[in-house]
Amino acid sequence: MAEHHRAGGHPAVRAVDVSVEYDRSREKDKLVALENFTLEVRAGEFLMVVGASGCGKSTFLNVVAGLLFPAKGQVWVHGEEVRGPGKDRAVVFQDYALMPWRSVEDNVKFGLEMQRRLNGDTKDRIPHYIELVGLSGFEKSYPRELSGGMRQRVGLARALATEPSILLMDEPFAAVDALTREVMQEELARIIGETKQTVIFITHSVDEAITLGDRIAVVTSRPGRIKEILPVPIPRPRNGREIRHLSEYTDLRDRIWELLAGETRLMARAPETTES
Amino acid sequence: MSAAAGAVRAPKAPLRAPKAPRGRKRFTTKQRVVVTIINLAIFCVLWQVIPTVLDIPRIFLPKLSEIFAQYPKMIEEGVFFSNVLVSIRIYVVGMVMAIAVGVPLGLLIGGIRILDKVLLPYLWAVYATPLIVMMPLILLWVGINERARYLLIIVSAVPAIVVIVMEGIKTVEPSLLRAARSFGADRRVLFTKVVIPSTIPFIGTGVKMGMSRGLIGLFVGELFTAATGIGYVIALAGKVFNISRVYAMLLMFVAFSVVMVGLAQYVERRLSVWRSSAVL
Ligand SMILES: Nc1ncnc2c1ncn2[C@@H]1O[C@H](COP(=O)(O)OP(=O)(O)OP(=O)(O)O)[C@@H](O)[C@H]1O
Ligand SMILES: [Mg+2]
Repeated sequence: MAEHHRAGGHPAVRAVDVSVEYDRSREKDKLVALENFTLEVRAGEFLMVVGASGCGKSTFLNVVAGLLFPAKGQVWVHGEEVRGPGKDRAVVFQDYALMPWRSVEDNVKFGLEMQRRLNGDTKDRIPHYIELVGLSGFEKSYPRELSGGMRQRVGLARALATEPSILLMDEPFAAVDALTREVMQEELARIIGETKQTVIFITHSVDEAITLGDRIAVVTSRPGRIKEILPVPIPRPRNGREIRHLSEYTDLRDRIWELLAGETRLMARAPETTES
Repeated sequence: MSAAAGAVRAPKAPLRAPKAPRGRKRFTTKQRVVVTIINLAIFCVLWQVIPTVLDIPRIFLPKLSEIFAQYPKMIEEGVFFSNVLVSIRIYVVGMVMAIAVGVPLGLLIGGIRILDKVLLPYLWAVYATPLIVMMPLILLWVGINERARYLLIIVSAVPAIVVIVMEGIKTVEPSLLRAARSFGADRRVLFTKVVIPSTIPFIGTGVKMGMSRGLIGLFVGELFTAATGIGYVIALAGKVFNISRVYAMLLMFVAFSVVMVGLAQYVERRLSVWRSSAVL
């Protein structure tokens, strides 16, 4: 597994007063997606981000990934200011973003290839990660021959295969069924437990947030800001179904729901909910 | 809601039934061949009888049998194979050069934004203009010789290839570029591993369009500058009012064009298998 350097006690990610604006093609005004967004993610932490649809979660992830530059504020990764993408981070995209002309196998290789790190050693990982996401037997399939959930898992394997110290995951299990999701969650928790990678994980599922997270960041409705950060007081390893009856679990769940409901009600004309 | 959200995010690719969609019959290959043969046979019979029945003067439309009679005659005179082969050679060599120039040029201009902005209007002008207007210039530059014939093919085909490849580069999915950049791809890797592969179906289309335009270049070149080739035989036969021979060689040219463009179409399809819109 890759070495995950922790530059002298720096947080893995530090975002201070980040504001992001989008130009809108049809309207004259700018859309403020994030405003004074401040967040610190500790090295080795599994941080969950929940918030209403359109509140700027993906935007924040893109900023950390170095794909988007904030209008105001700064972001540091391992103490260094973000100036673009880097080999220390990998993104699992909400819209998969697989290369349609590449087979599953070649898509999983893609990240390493972009980093010019595909060699005998790294190549050996490919079957391992394909198996990990449960796509053995589909190595030669093209994305168009896969279901939405399967595509999503290819995107996950592609990011994992680069073995970054920070994983940025944008609703990676949104399109998979409940059972597969549970298996994948357990696998992910196991891998991260071993590799001690830092994870920022966006989800719409409060249950998923509590099952996987060390802490849960609740984001306000647009423009997005951190409303509250809640630690998950349940020891690992956790089993999604077993912990569901603990009072810590139900209390935390109610608390998050309350926070989200307050935010969602604010968006009176866009009543989007966030949980199954 | 998460189930609904998942459904909303499902891929946008249009669904297509794997086999025989309702409402439209699909023929098997065998059936298609039979239908084509019957179709052609009816066409030939009509061509044979219509000139007689309608009493059309020979100079407009000779009977098909008279036209076909020209082939053994031309072979006997030794003008058939030599000229057809010359046409094929010049076309193939000309097209190879046109593709070798056009595809990289299209990728280069399309890939560099400033070049694209500056050159696009001129390329469109060249693309839109019938190449006949270039004839006098080309003849002035290189003289009435074989080089002029290659040049005519290249001048006809290259703008089409360049313009279509450039357009193709603009259709590259931004989310794919973003994904590649997220892994730290530099410009060169981005270009070779994302831009070019996603442009390949357009390269296929550009080459196909270039090939049909190149046929015009070939023909014009043969009519006006050549002392060999299918077009030359046609021009010569026209001068002595040998209408059957004109038709015979025109049919050759049509057959040649159909084969070439069919080939290009096949290549285009093969290059775009991965696109969900391409039904194979
Ligand atoms: N490229 C863009 N151009 C203009 N506006 C954008 C763009 N991308 C996002 N936005 C806007 O920014 C806001 C935040 O978008 P973002 O994708 O970050 O939301 P999100 O929290 O990830 O939502 P979801 O949970 O639905 O994925 C949205 O209101 C959206 O309309
Ligand atoms: Mg999002």
